[in-house]
Amino acid sequence: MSRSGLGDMSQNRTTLKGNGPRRPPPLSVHSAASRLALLARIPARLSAARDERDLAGETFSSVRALWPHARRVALLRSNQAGTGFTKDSAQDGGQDLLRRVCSEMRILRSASRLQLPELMPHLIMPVLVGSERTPGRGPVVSVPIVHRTTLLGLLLVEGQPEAEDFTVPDLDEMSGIAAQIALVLLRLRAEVTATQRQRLDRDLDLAREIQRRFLPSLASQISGFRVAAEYRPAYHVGGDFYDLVSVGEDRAIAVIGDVAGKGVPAALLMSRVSHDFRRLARAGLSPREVLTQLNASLFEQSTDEAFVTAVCVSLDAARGRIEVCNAGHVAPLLRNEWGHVLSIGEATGTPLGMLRNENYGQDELPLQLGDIVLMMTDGVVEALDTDVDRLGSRALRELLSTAPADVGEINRRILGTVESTGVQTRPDDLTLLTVEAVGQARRAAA
Amino acid sequence: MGLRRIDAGEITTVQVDGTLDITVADELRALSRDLLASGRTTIVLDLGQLRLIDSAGIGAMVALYKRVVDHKGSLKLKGLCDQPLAMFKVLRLDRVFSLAK
Repeated sequence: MSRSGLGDMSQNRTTLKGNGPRRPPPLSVHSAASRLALLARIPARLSAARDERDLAGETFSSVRALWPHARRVALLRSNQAGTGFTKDSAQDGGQDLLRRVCSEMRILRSASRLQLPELMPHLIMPVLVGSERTPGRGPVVSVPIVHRTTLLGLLLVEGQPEAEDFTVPDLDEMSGIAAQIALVLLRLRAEVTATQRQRLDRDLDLAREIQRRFLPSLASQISGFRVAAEYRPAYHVGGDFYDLVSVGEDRAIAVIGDVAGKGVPAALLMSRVSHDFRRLARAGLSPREVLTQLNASLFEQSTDEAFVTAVCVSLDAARGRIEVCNAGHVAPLLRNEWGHVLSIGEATGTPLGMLRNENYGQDELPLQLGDIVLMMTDGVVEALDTDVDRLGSRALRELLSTAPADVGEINRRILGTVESTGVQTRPDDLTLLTVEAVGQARRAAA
Repeated sequence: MGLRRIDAGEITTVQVDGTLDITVADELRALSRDLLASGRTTIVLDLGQLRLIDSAGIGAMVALYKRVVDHKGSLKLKGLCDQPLAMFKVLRLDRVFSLAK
């Protein structure tokens, strides 16, 4: 037996003559009984197949047992996209038999490319090709393997060159076998899909793990600031990240960002950006310098499509200054101790990794003790988005303005509102990084 | 839905309708590779009928922009509106691409 389930065999054609009820001489009781027994065993044989190739092999030997004069048997299977036949099923005799059927049906041109959608209307019904029409070649049957209206494949059987044509009862029996094949094929394909899904799930778990490892668990209190961070991954793990590094007494630098794309590639890119950020932040660079360097390194090292939106904020509670640089990210909000909220640091440049020499601007504002800075990813804003409040900025300002001056409570209220909007499967991660300037050094001195 | 390509003289106009998500982004990537390989580097993206773009779509456009610049060609975006325009503004891409009505 060949690997594709095709084979050559020579059996005498007298056996053929005994086959269908319309053919004289009629079947002997013995051969009819053994034929029935053979037919009864076919479902079990076919469903024992471990994979499609195995199924082709079982089909081949079953058909050969029932029609001993069969010269070639082929099981063409459609590819997953339904555009053509799988390579291993179309090679050798399968393709040849299909061409023959198509040439008899005058659809040879489309058959030359074996495009399933074009062949489908012609081959969705069984086709009988008589032997006399092609000298030296046997009769051929093409039986569709169908699930509802989808053509899953074709069972092609060729008899010996001088054999009599296949008959309608032959066709009926072959259609019965084709129906069995369809069931087994569907089951095998469902198993493959399940395996692929498991692989995707593993991929997702890996992405979550990478992300979890790289998102810092920030201390709630560092020199001069109270800090609270929240991260809620979406089903499709994205590449949100945040970090806050203390760079001296009452000074800190924070970043929040969102890597475009999902899954492991986004998580890996995110891990690199957060690693680079720590290094640059500790070197004492300004937000503008940090983002400029991150941009350069991402541009050089990542693919053309990759980009990262990010905002970097440095807070100096001792000198009362805040610096913001924004690379295509949603702007942070600043709430003062009277509850006024303003948006700070609108994007001055494109996301990181897009343009080689992007020139980022930097906003500078005064920072008062008691000021609270809220940084977020657009998942938060989008979740609060309504028709009347494009991008949900009004809702967010309102929440921030009326919340007590407690960074943890502010985050909880925002997440509570987001979750109560009833969005069950968020497309995006939600990340919040909230910082309050408490200025220990200055307070201690005062 | 999807992409339509119109070649007129030196200019190739690619019409992107409906949604530019990961599926269409793949097509756009393949098409831009073909265009640049065959020396067609003056490209107009007609986005008048584009209603939605996601990060994969943005990525594909940026990739196209970078490759066109590498080939010393030109890329113009025409008719950008609605959510895609808002997205371009948020990402500050309106400064990078040359936009036309």
